[in-house]
Amino acid sequence: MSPSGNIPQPLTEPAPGSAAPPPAPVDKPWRIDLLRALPPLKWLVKRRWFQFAVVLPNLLFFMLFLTTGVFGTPVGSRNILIVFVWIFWWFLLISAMVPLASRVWCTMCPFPFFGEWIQRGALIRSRGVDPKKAKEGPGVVVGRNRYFGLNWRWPKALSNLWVQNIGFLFLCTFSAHFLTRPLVSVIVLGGLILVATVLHLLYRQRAFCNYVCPVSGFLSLYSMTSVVEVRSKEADTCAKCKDKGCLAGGEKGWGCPWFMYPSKMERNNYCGLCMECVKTCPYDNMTVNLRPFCSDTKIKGLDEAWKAFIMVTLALVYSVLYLGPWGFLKDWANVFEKGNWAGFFAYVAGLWVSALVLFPAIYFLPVWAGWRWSRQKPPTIVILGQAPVNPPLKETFLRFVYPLVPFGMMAWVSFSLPLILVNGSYIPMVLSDPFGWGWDLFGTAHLAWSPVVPHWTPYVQVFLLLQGLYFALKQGYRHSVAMYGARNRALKAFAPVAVLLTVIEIAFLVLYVG
Amino acid sequence: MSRTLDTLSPREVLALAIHVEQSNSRRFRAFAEVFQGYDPDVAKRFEELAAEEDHHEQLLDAQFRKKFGGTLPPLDQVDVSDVVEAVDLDDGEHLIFDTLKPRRVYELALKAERGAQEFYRKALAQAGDPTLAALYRELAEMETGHASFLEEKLRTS
Repeated sequence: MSPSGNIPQPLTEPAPGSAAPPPAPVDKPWRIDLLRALPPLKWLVKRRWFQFAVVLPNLLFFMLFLTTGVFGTPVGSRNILIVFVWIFWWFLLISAMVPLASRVWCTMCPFPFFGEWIQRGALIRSRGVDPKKAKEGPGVVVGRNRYFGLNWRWPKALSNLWVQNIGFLFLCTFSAHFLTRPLVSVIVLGGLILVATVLHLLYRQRAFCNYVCPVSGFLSLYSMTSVVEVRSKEADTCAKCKDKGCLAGGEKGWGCPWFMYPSKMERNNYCGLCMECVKTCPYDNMTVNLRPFCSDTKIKGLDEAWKAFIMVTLALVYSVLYLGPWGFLKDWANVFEKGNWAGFFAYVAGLWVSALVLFPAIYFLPVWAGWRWSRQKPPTIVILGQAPVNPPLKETFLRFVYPLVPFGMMAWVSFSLPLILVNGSYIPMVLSDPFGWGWDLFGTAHLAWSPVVPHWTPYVQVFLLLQGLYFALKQGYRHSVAMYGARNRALKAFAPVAVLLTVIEIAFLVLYVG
Repeated sequence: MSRTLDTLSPREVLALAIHVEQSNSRRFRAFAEVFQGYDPDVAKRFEELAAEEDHHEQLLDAQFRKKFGGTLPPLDQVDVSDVVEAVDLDDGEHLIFDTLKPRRVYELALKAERGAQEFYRKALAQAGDPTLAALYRELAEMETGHASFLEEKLRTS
């Protein structure tokens, strides 16, 4: 694989000494080294206090929001928790942070703050230690850092996205409740802090973020599209590095808290942009790059594929639920207010079956059809090391699931856009009166509710959706060419998937612009 | 500034070979430190290979003392433009998905040893100086021995 991303490559590497032709040179996509271009940014991310400085204000706001959730008005649109977290934060996250700055939210996320503080026994400094002296002193030594807590290994069976997939689906099932009720939001968000803290005490480093946090799951998937990445500058420098400080840590910083081996990082999925590797690298070989949109294109496993299915299904279901004309569906989802349990169970069953079974099955059909359609009779003489004539079905499936990443992300941005444009005027109101107690701190508490450019919204939504489809088709076709080589076979293989993507796109367009 | 192999004297070439073994030993130990408590089996393999690299280093060091005497020139592998032999993990996400198996550790080490073998063979083919050529031949043979050791490990693991 290319060191700079996930440019589709032949399926197998030629065996040493085989007669297979060398792979065609791959154009290295452009990268701009942001730490080189912006020295103040480099200075900033190299400070030990960098992450603390971005988490602390966020944590204080978060605590304020939780307090307003408990003591403030139960009216969602008048409580800063609901307006800021579920309207403003959500829109900012999916529409700006992820596409423009990858998992920058994880850099400033308050959920793991207390757990990580206890686990490290430090807020800012790192605890470098000589592994030979591991037994001298408290805690557990991992690599060349000392940690507190039990530092268990995360179970292998759960070393994937499945817990996050199910957790996110579960939370979304009840979204109608916590999106409108401040107290329920407090329980959900406070519960996440509690779970994160407990898991930091039990398991190594950021096991919570990697395997449990429901927000992290979709950030992992959609960060693949981001125009920003943390990567090594020169592969040779990393290869020659003796100490592997980015992985093992040391005096200058912590070994990658996300379990990544930064020098070999090829995707954004599991990089929380904590910048520890930028600090620990003895050769100054880690940096932050600007890069083209959708540069990471490899889905590695079924857990990641299902994350893509769940996200697209949810975008579609939410669009039907919150933007569609079928009020009874909204009532079904809002069971605690409406009390229609039969309707609620129908909604839950429909959502879970669609996300976990129906949509994946529907998606599999065109993948399989294209795979069959483009099959060729294998040659009688097989040259060792040459890519198989017909790629395996699983490989084809995983590669063709990738288009759902840009597609799904842009669908979510399109869905979230009216939320902020329609409800955005609540933001200045709740800033002046965060608890809904009748305060008017900045003189904006009594502004009239006014949707922003509502007549433009459908046009922007159409543009965003079409962008998603464009990147989906482009990357899907590139994957197909990488697998099949010949253009006509690549087209045959990808055409059924392209048709399905277009049909789903039309469904979104109908929902948004009628 | 980075130097190319053809600018090194025989004394520096041997010093570089010693440094390569030292570096690999440290790399193996760094990986062992990270995997210790995570997957003790994998950590044990890395530790075992680090000890093997220490042994290689001692052999080369003895050879250096015999051939040239004195102290090693201050030459770091980082100072040389080529990567001679560098053991590395093949996937940045091994720890996340728990995918590094003990056997794979030997395979990665074998890949590095074969790379070194190839490197010294190429250097031998280009060497004009007979002393250098003899040295490269010895080093290539030594790497073949290391590779055989790992192949045996793979057969029995």
